[in-house]
Amino acid sequence: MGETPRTPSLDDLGHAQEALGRALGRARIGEDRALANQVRELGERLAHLLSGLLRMTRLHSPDNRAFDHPVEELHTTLVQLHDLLGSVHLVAVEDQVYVNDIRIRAGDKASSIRELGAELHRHNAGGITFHLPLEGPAIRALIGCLGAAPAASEPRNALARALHAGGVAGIELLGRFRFRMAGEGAPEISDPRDFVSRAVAATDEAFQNLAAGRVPNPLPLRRLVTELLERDLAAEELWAEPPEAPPYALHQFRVAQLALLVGFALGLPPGVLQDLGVAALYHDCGYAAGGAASGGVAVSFERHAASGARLLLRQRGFHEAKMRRMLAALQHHRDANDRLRPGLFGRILRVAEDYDTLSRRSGKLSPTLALALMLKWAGTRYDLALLQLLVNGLGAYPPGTLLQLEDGRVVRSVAPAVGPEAFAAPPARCVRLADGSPAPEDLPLVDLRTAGPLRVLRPS
Amino acid sequence: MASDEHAPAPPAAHGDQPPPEHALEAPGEEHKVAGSPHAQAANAAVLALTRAARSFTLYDPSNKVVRTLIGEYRDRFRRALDGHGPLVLDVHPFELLLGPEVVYIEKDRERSLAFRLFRDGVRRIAFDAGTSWEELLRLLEILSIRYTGVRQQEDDLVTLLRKAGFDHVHVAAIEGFVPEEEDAEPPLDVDLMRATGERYDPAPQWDLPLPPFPEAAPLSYRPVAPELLERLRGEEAPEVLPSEAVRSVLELLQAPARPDLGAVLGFALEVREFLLLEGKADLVGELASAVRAALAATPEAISPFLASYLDARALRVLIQALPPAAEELPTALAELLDAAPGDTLGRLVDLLTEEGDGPRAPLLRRLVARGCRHAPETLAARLRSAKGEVAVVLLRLLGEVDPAAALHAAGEASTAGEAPLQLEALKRLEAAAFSPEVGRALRHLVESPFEEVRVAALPVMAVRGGPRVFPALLAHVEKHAAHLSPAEATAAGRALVRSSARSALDAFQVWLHPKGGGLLGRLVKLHAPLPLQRVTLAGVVAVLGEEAEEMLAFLGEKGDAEVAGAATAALAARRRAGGGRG
Repeated sequence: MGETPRTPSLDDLGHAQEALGRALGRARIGEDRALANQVRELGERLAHLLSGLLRMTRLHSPDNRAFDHPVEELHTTLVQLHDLLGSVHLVAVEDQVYVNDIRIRAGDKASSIRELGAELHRHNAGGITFHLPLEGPAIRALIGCLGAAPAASEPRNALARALHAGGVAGIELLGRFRFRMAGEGAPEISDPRDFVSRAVAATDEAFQNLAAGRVPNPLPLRRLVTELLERDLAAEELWAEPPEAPPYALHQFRVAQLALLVGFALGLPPGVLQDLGVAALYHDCGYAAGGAASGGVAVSFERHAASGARLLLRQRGFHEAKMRRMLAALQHHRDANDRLRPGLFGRILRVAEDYDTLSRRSGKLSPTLALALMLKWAGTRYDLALLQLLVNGLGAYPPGTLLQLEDGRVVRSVAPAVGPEAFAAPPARCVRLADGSPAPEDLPLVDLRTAGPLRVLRPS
Repeated sequence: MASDEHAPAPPAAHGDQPPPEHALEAPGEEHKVAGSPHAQAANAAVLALTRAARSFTLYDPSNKVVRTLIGEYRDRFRRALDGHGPLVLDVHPFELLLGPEVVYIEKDRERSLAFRLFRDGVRRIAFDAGTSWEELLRLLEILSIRYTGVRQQEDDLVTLLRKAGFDHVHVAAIEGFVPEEEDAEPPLDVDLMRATGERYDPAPQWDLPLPPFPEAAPLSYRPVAPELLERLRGEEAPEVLPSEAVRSVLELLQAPARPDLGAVLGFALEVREFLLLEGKADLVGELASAVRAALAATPEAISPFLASYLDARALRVLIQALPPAAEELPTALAELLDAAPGDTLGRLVDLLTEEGDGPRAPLLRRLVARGCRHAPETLAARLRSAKGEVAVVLLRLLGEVDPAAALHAAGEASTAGEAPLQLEALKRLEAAAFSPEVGRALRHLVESPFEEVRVAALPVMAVRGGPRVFPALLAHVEKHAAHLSPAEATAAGRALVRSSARSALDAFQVWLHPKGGGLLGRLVKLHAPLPLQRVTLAGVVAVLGEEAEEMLAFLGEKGDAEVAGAATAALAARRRAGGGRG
């Protein structure tokens, strides 16, 4: 057996059609052609049921038997949508309702659609995201809370608290987002947190979502990786330690940085680099299987790789990125010379992960020594070339290395060395003056090329 | 496929008819704008882009309409860039602006290109004058995906645009964008949103302890050889993705703490979709075989998996990858088909039906015959609903794998509505031992509404039935005497004689010399209608002897002109041959 025969030669437009067809086919597999129509139909049912239930609250209490059948129908609809989509985003804007960006046709029930929007807007909510299909009691609690009078102040937050108190979980209330027309002009608001804080928070959020039993949603992490790739990977601010960062999330982010350093040096194309970064942010996600949603039993080291692959499988549809990160999760602790040789991502992540664990998490080794210890295992535990790329990328004194200068000052390496010339002279900041006192924070970077002999210090 | 409630109903997805004029134009607010020549050109280009991108929600990619729209997109963008230089579009929520001029406006969020760009964080998209066609195509691909994508878990426009690595298309996107709210509220404690209401953190010593590291090596900068870098990059090249996908399934199945089997098999089916799309028939087969082997310890899972896996599409890809003249199946495929449940045979029959007289018909017939070994009843069941040439092929195949079932099916087919199938059934009956069932079937065929079938069936009934069927044959001839064509009359005459020559001659005598009639009867021509004269002539010509010659002479003297001439000629030929008296 071989491959399916290709079509004969075509003109430019024919080639374009064929290429686009294949690209769309790739994007659609797992979506299947009927998916949008299915979502539209189910979304319509969801919107109308929700609207109908809210209307009924004006006459009856939600625990009335009259709610039994429509509540059951709503639950079934949510289950079907969840099976298709994972998270279901219902957004009401002006007189339209969208479910995962599919506009719901109002038809002869246009008033029902408008009413749903109005009910949500009373609570200053623009929509609801259902991360999980709600069970009957939660649905009754939801419509009870939605049907109640809105709070005078911060109505959406008050609603969220009421839902939480009522035992409703797995949903999110969306704000009423306003998109201005051209000419209306208003400055856009950026997230005030610095990039690393945002990245660590998003990574933590992804882990918490998995622990809560939600379907993986890699898009926010991919956006972060995309932004990271637009920045200078050697920039000092990317290697700072954000205060009170959750250790797990910070580790995932550091591994991603290190992996991308290697990937960049390898010359991987942008799409593969993105996939590598996302795989790194998920690589230890198997530990999330110890969350309450999965039974609350902590996951052992031996099981976390396969657990991670299982969690990642929850995401529907084939995508090469999903396949790559699943393989990476499975293989990232395997030795490079293992009989079952790990793939490229697995080998990169092994190098990145062990380095971060040795240098930062252990708290006992300087980053320089961590690299040097790993280098002894090049070709066995670690892919020789990939480890060397990491060494080249980080330099002799990777970020975080404490060095004592000849004059007694103590400096810390704050960024990777860029290029062979700077291999042993990375950017560094003084942390202690020659007299041992703490250095002011606004001192300029120290040029280690002229600093004379350096002594590597162990972490204090 | 998604359709807009304001748009006209789309034409059939696979049709190549030109669409109604209005289907190609942008309804709603997506309309042409006035303005400077540059703005108008930009408007035309952007509209062409959105129409081309949205066309994939309406039409199959191979449709001629799509081709037309792609061509328009290319031409209009080229016109805008060649005629006016770089095109810099500022992205607003529902509009695209060229400087101060609006060149695109669409407020429907489902349809609006501007909204999708803005929502994903894109604020500017700029095209250099030298933007290549390949880059424009890549952009079209990205936007088309976003218009058809529903799950939206993996990519948005920004990540796709960054992934594309454009040289002449520049995208400015903002990150960490906080959408403006009508009435913003302070952020809520995020724990309130969790399903469990609690944070979960792995144990502090996760991934620890590491294995021992007793020795260190000196650090130095060493360049890595370009060839090695290229080899490493090659491990993630697009062409290795299919085999990596297969590997990923196998790794999951072999993992020591194996993940949920249902989820893994579901993933295997997703990988199959990918392999089918890529035309990797060899890997489609390999994956199925590997999964089957991996499920050896849970055999009850194999059959349902293969039933889903070996659907019509997968089978088509597997078959099309085989050389048409292939005599033997590859071992892996053979084992797979043997292990597949009965539905697979039905799908093979469907493929055979589709193939018709195509180059793979012989191969498919072999595959169906092979499959019948495991489920012969499937073929007989399908035969009942089959039509045309397919029915003939199926009956023939059934004869190869289960002659008894084929004979029974032939009996059923004798009352079927199609001539080719009845003729094929006749062949089966002709080869079978005579029995009441066969006799009934042959009688049905002699009574067939199709003359060609009747003409073919008459001699078979006579030969197989012998004298016992003579009365039925005679009754048939006399019943239809008025309508027998020359060919059928000839066949009937020969059949009667073959069934029983004596009885036939007696019957001919009665037709030629009816009792009574007197002198007048002797003086006028035959009362037997022309068809019966033909029947008699054909029968008598096949019989030797004086009685037969007398009848020939009688026909030559008294018969209708056509019959008389033929009878006289036959008699003369017989006498010339010297075989006139026997």
